[in-house]
Amino acid sequence: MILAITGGKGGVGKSTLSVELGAALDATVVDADLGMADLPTGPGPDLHDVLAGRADPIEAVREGCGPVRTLPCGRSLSGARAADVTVLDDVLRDVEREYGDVVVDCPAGLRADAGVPLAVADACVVVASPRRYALADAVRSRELARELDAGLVAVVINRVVDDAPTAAFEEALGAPATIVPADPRVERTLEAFRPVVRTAPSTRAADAIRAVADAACRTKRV
Amino acid sequence: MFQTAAIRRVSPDPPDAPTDAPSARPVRADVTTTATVGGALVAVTLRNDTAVAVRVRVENDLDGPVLPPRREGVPAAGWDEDGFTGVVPADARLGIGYACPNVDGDTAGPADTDRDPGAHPDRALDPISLAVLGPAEEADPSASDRVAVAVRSLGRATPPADAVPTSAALDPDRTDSSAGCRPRRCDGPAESDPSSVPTPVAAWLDAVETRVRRAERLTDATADEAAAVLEDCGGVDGVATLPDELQADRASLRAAGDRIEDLAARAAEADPELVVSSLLAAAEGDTSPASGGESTASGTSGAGDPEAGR
Repeated sequence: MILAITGGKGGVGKSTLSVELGAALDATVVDADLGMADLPTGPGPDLHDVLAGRADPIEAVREGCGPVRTLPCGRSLSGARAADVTVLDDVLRDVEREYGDVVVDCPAGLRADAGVPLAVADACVVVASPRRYALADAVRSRELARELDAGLVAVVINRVVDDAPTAAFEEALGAPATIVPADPRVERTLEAFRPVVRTAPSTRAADAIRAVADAACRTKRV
Repeated sequence: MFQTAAIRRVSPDPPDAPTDAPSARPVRADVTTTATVGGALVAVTLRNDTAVAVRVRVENDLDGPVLPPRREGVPAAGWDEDGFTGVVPADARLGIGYACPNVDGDTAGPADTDRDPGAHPDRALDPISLAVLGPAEEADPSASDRVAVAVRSLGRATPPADAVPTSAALDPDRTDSSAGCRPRRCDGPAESDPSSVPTPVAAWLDAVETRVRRAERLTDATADEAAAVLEDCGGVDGVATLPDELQADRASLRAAGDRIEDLAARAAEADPELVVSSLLAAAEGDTSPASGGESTASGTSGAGDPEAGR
């Protein structure tokens, strides 16, 4: 299964949730944010090289370098220019064939680099922050996913401190909303590259992430 | 053409099609071919006179590749490298068009060819072949179709070219090739601040650039391109010495580049300000004793003395 993690706005926690879900599903996390990647990378070919035809998708996957298998993305503007997003279809399918489930960390916005992963994905998770303005962005992402035929697994309301407008989100988006409570350990997931579903599995945040992962698994079985 | 006839046979006419001969064919095509420099533009109007939508295939028969209409770099819906597949709605027209390069105007076929599929006397002149694939049914778009749709409708998000100025002059890998483009990159600052490059240096660089540009134009040039350069230089005598001059320019540019780099590094390292200011202060103290010589006598005077002795 190819699962796209999307959400119109930047900074709502798509990359963090991608790593967490990657750990929960034992999937390969692909950083498809071609312009502003933020998954940890290192020496070796990255998604820019793969999309420019300079590297094989499988050799760009980092295995055993951390708790989650990743296909990171380069940081350079020239790499982003050279990358052909239309090839992403074949790349994601190659990775799925080799390693099984794939979690795609989509970029913010509604351009083709955000749309193509949704067009390829079997299902998607929309991430939103618990603010009033975030609902509009979530609805736009939801509409894009619907047009591109990516079924919605769940809406994640991320970093909830007090009461979240769960009912409003569920009504507007037509899907169950999962609340991920604000947790400093989750905030450090990307920085330390240590997903809480592994390091602190008994927290409420880890429970919520596992619930989303279970929902994704149920979608796969159908 | 024979392929067209074959597909025609397997595609049944809609049951409610009129029975008179010309309109029994579900779809007709009006083809207009316009010969342009370097190719032909083909416009096709597909007419469906029946009451059902019909799926058709239009293939290019001209001698050259199909250049389909594109949006965001992706061919428009229905186009592939050989032609177009699409649906003509019931009782409606559909207009499509493409370009075909490297075609003589003569062989591009007559303009305004009103034709029917599979039944035309002068087939050799047809720029396209039309095949009716049958009534249109709802097709589930494949993933690759959806990717193309996403790129076409949403637009690519790649950063625009040259959004950030490149530092070609600082790139050590490009010292040779940047000889031609470096002065051009420096045009902007040079014009706004004419003192940045001394005039004799700028004049020399301009002369070198002229020769490099000429040499670039002659690199792997076709006969036509070479002729154009000769015309600009006033005959073969103008370029006879070019290889030798270019060789000399290469050596001079490298030598000048090394010297400039060396001098720039030394200039960056050297810091005479402190000593000079103390010397100035000392000189001022000598000429005007009223200003007090104590300040110069502390510490800096020791360094100042040997400098003054030079």
